[in-house]
Amino acid sequence: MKPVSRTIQTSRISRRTVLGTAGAGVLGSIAARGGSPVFAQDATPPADPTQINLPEARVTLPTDNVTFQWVDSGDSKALFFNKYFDTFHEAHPNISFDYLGIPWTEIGELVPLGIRNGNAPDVFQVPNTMPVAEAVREGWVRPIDDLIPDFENWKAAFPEGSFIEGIHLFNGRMYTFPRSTSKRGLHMTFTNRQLLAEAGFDPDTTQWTWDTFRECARKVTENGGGEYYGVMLAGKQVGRWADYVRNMGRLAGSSAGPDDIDYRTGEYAYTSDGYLAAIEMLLALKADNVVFPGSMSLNDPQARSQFAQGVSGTLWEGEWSMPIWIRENPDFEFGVTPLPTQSDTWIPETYANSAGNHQWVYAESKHPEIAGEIFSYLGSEAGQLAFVSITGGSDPSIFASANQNAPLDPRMQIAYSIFDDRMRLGPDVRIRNPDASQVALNMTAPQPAFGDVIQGIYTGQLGDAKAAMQDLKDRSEAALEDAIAKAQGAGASVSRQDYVFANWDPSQDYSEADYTALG
Amino acid sequence: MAISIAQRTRKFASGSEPGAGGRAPGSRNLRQRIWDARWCYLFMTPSLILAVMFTFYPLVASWYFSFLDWSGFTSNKTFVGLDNYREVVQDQYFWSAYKRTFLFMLGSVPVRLILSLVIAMILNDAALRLAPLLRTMFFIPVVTTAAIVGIVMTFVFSPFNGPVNDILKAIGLIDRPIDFLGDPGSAMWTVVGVHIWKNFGITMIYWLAALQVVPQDLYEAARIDGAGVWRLFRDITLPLLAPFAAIIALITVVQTLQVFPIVQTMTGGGPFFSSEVMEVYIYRNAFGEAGIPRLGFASAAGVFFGMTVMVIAIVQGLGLRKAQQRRRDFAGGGA
Repeated sequence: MKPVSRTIQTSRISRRTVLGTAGAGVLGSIAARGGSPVFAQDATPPADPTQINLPEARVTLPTDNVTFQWVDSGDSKALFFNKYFDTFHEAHPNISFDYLGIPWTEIGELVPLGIRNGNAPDVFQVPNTMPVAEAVREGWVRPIDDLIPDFENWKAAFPEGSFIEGIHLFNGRMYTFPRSTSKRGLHMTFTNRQLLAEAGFDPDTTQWTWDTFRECARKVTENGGGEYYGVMLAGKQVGRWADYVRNMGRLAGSSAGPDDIDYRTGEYAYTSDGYLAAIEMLLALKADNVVFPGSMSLNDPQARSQFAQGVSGTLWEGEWSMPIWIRENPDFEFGVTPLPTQSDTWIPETYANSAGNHQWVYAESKHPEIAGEIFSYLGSEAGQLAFVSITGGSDPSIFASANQNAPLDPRMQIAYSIFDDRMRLGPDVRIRNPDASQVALNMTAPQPAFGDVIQGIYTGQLGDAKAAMQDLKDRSEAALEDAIAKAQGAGASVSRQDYVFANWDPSQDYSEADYTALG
Repeated sequence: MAISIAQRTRKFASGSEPGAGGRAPGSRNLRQRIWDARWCYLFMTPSLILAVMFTFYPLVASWYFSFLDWSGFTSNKTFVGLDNYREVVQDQYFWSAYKRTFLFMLGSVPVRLILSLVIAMILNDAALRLAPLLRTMFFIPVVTTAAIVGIVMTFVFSPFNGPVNDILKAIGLIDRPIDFLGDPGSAMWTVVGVHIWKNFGITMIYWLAALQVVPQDLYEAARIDGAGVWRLFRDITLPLLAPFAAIIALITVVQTLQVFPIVQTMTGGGPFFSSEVMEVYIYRNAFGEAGIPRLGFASAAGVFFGMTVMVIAIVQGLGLRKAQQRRRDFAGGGA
């Protein structure tokens, strides 16, 4: 039976490219299997890390014809999974794979519907509008610790602290594992080398402060004469506005988690000096007329593709953009630098372990043992290396060795070093108190949200930035208090104090010892 | 023997069939009538089933959901009675979206009706040889997919190398590009303009159909009497079209209250809610772009809005009936 792999992509990866890569992978693995040993426990990386050396199956796989369904958000993951499933099917022809890579909005429709009808995919990603704890509570997913062969050794290979109660572990069972690290995101400026060189700036050696950035943007716009501009913003994508202000505000010293809470006080950081200064910086760029006109109509993918056509000197984006440019615009010379900071010094940005990009096994899956075999490979050093190599590194691995050994574009390596340099793990209220996930479930997000408010300030519809941010803070505080009260009403033992971590130092990773010291 | 015209007209007007046995109309009972028309009902069944599944059931379901506090995918639905409605009524963003929806309607319906009527009248002239070609040209936008049109239009109206801005600059009307979709003042009206362009073709077809009712010999007679274009329009076309105008207006109004794909793809309701119409508001709340989706709340907003539209349709229907009644009285008294 031929494997059925359908991929509906949001980015412009053509079906031909994907199938071509998969086909090459199959041919390559057939050729490779001739002589090379099974990789599973081998310490030396294979000659070509983009080839998948499928380990011998260590679970009892079904012998009758089976179709295994896997649904995730596709994009660069699809590059790996198409290849992997083809290889697996070659080795076990009775097992076919139905792989669907679909946008998050469609996952949000397909998965709940499948659950309701009792025929959800065998492995899926939990919709990103839903706290994963809820999926566990609702009985959508099943533990994986009894599915993975040689579980204890497999688990021990992961870095310290990879598995977190309330994210991967629930009631002592493991439900998912971190395939990629959460230490990533929109923390860099991409630069058009040519445009910056014309303006007299070397992206690699310049110390990027807000002033330098503005000056560079002005020069590029001047040179452009209407053909290109200094800065491009993905203005239609509301979440981006929040990213710009949050990340630059935190670098400027207003430390807060990805949820904008300053854990030192337990309050939202919306009216902090750093956030307000970052807003001023955005407005200054607008006043300088250096922003690409039409930015307000650009969403992420559009901004990405327009940037590659040379209409802007800079773009604030995430590392996932790089493989796309490398594949589709191979002649585009771009540089990677950290985000500009208010001054020469900066405070690291705080990240939290998120379960958003993980994979879960359906509670009613008919062949969970296949998932066990797949997870066993995917969570091993060999599997992680193959994953990072094939996807070009846009989902950095949880294993540092995989990131180092994969044949990645040097610019991706620069991105990883930016993450290492500029990001620190923050405290997580869910680790301190597992009942806190009830709060997230009962939270009615304030409307308009952070991104909306920044967008409104930028367009001028909200005239007084400070007042608007104060209003946002008040509404957010009220929403959090309300959610806590509702969670308490539902029996959770959680309070506002849980959000205060007095011993938090934003310049350091928050460790196990810190949680214990809290008492 | 030839039946007199008057007799024929009376028979036609009363709707009775020339029955073989001379049976009076209405004496056949309901069951007999249904049995006579059984093939009609049989062929209607598939459509009816689909309509029930995809229109009526979701409609009734949404009434039920509007009384729940429910995210749409979890199993804990809490019955909260009218709480959702209370929250909807107190939400300023709901009323802004409401107001904007009607602004959208008021901005596009009159323009669409008048523009399509003028074009329909021009194309109705049988002497115009290109009429069929032009009719097709004007109608093609109607059959395009709104979502695709919306995306393409974001490029057409882009202030960076967008054709509209290029043309305006070339003819000297502006010297700096206008950000049609990014400026909160112009975003919604740009969408209105695109909506009119895309949909006036269908209204034109309705008018063309209505215009067939007007007998050409009336125009001939009036022209012989020396009436000009305006007199022809005001005294012949307009009165005869009036009942159709009411219906076409109603259809157009209802269509304009449902513009989700084009707004969502062109502006997403932005910037900062300046083009958010009711459907975008409902979508935003139903599928939770920020935070957990709230299907119950969104259903309440939808039901509330639907009731409003229904009230408008009823008022318009009553007005129409009254106008027809008055016309009938006038015509009956005069003959």
